[in-house]
Amino acid sequence: MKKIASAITLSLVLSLSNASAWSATDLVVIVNPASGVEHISRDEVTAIFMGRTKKLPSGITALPIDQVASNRDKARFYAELINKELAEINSYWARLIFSGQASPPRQADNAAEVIEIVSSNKGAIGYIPRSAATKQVKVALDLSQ
Amino acid sequence: MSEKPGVHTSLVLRSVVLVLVLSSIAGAILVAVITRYVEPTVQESISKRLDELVRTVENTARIACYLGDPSLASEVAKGLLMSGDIERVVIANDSGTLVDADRNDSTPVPTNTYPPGTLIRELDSPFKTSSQVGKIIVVRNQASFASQVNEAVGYIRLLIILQTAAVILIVTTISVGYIAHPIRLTASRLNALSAMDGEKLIAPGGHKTDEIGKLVSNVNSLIDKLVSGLTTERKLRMEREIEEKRFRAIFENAETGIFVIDRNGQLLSFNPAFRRALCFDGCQSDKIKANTQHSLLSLLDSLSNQHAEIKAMIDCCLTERQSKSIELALCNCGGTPHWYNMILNPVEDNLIQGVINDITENRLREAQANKLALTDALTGLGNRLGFEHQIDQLINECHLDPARAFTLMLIDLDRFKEVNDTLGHDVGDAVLIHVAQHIEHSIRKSDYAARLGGDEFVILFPFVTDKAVISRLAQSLINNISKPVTTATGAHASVGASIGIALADNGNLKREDIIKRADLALYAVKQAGRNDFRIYPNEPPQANA
Repeated sequence: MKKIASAITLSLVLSLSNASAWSATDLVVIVNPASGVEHISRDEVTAIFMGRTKKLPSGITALPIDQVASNRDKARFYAELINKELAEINSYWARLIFSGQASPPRQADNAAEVIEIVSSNKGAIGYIPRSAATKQVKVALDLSQ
Repeated sequence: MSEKPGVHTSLVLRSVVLVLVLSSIAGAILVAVITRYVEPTVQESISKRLDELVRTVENTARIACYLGDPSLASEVAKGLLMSGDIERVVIANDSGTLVDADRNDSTPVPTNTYPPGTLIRELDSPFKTSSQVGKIIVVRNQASFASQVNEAVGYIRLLIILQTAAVILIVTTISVGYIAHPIRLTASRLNALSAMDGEKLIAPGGHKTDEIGKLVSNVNSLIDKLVSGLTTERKLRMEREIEEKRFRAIFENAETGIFVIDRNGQLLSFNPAFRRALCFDGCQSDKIKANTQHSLLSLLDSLSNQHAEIKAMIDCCLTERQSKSIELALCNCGGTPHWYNMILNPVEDNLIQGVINDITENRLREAQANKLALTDALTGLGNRLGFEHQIDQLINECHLDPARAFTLMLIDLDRFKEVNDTLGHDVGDAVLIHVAQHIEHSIRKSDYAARLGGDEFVILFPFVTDKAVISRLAQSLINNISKPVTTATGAHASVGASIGIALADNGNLKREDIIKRADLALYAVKQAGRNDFRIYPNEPPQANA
C-alpha cells in the first residue's frame, strides 16, 4: 500500500513538474543547429536510430550517435523512446549483421563526446541529459514529454 | 443328418459372412463420414502449425519490413519454406514486395489472389505496436495437405479394418465354440439315438441351462410323447386285430350267406356260406369261377334267372333306403332246387349289405301243409277248399285274359247211397277211390279234379270250351265210372254218374254263378233219368242226339 501510495504521489509530482519545470536528468534529442531541423518526432528518432531512415527530416544524411552500454543513459534512452531493453536492441542489431542492410549507430563514450560530434557534424543526431545540453547543439525532442 | 453341413449352409460361415458384410458396410460408412471430418481437422492443424511457424519468424519479418530489408525477408522466407507444409512465402512492406519465394526456388508470378488456407498476417512495427509496417503471406502446400489428409484417412481405415478383423475373429470363435459345435454334437447324438429303447438325448457340457439345453430337453419330452403314443397305438391296433379276427370268424363261419354289393350288383365281399349257396365251387360256369378268383363277380350274373327282378330290387333299395327281401329258387349244384330268402339292406350311398338264408325246409313244410289243407284225404283229389282256390284263380285269369276260358264239370254218383247202405262204408269208400282213379286217368295234367264231399266230384278244364270235346270227355267218364267195382274184400258194387257242365267263357262270371249253372244242368240230368250229362243251359247231350 505504501508503495502504491508513493507511486501515485511520484506521478503526481512528475506531472506537476512537467507542467511547471523541467527535470535536470531528462533525456533530450539534440541535433546540429545547422541541420535545418527545428523539431523531430519520436518515430523519426526511432527510424534514424534503428536504421530505417538514413536522412534527417530536413533531407540531409543523418548520423545517429549512440552511447556505450556502460553509460546508463543508453538504457534510459531506448526505454523511453521505444520501451525496449538493451538486450532487445542488441538482439535487433545481431539479426541485421549478416544482411548488411543496416548497421548500429556509432557509439560515443559519454554525453560530452556526443555534443562534440553533433556540434561538428551537420547531420548528426544524439541524446544527452538535459543538464548536459550546450549552446552548440539544438534540442529537437524532449523524451520526457 | 450326420454329414457336415455344406459351405453355404454352415451356421458359422453364414454368420461370419454376415458379420463381414455388415462390418464392411458400417466401416465404409464410418470411413466416408470420418473422411469428411478429417479434412477440416487436418486443415485446422496445418493452419495452426503455419500460425506457429509464422509466429516464430514474426519478429524477424517485422524488422525486415521495418527496414525494408529484402535479404532478411528472404532469410525468413527460406526458413519458412524448410517446412513441407508451406508452398510459397510473400513478405511485403508499405513500399513493395520484399520477397516472394516458393518451394521450387523459382520466382512465382506475382498475384493478388491466393488459394484457400493461405495465412495472411499483418506485421506491426517492432518498436511501435500500433503501427503496421507490412504483411507476410504464407501459402499452404496443397500436396502436403492432401497427403496428410490421405494419411489420416488411411490410418482410420486401417484401424477400422483391424477392428472388423478382430470382431470377425471373436464372432467366429464364439459361433464355433458356443453354438455350432454344441449343435453339431447334439445333432450327431440325436442321429445315433435309439429313442424307442427309452434312451435320452444328453445336452453338451456347459449348455445344460441355456437355449441348447432347453432344445435338448424339449426333444426329450417330444421323444417321450412319441414313444408313449406309439405304444398306445400299437396296443390299440392289436386289440382291433383281435376284434377283427373275431368278426371275421363270425362272418366266415356263419350259416347265413353274407355279402356286400355295389349299385351294379358287383360283389365286393362275401362269406363261405354265400359261396356255398350260389354254388361258386360246384356247378357254376367257368367264367364265374374265374371271376371268383378276382373278386369281379356280379350278383346279377350269378342269378341270371332273376336278373331284372334283382336289378329292380337293388335300385328300389337304394332309392327308398329300405330293406327289401325276395325268395329265390336256386338250382344249386345240379341237385334239387333250394329256396333262399335274400334280404338287401342299404348301408352306404352306393353299397348294399345282403344276407341269404336257406329256407328250403320251411318252404317244403309249408307246401306240405298247403297240400294237406287242399287235398281230400280219401281220394287224393282236391277238397272243397282246393277247388275254391283253383276256380278263383281260373276266374281271375279269365278276367285278365278272356281267351283263358275254362269249363266246370260237376259229377254226382248215382245209386251210391244204396251201395253205402247195403255194402257198408268200406265198400262205399272203395267205390269213391275207384271213381277218383277213373277221373284222374281221364283228365290232363293241367286239369283239376276235386271231391266236394260225399259222392260229389268236380273237374276244371282250363282252356277247354269246345262242347264236342267236353261232351266226349263227359261220356267217357260216365262209361268208365259205370263199370262194376270189385273191392279188396271181394264185394261187387256198381254206381252210375250224372254230370252237369257249365262253360266259363266270359270274364264276368262269379264262382257261385258257374257252380249254380253246373248244378242246374246236373239237376236236369237227374230229372231226366240219371247216368247222363248236360251242358248248361240244359242243352241235350249232342253225343246222345
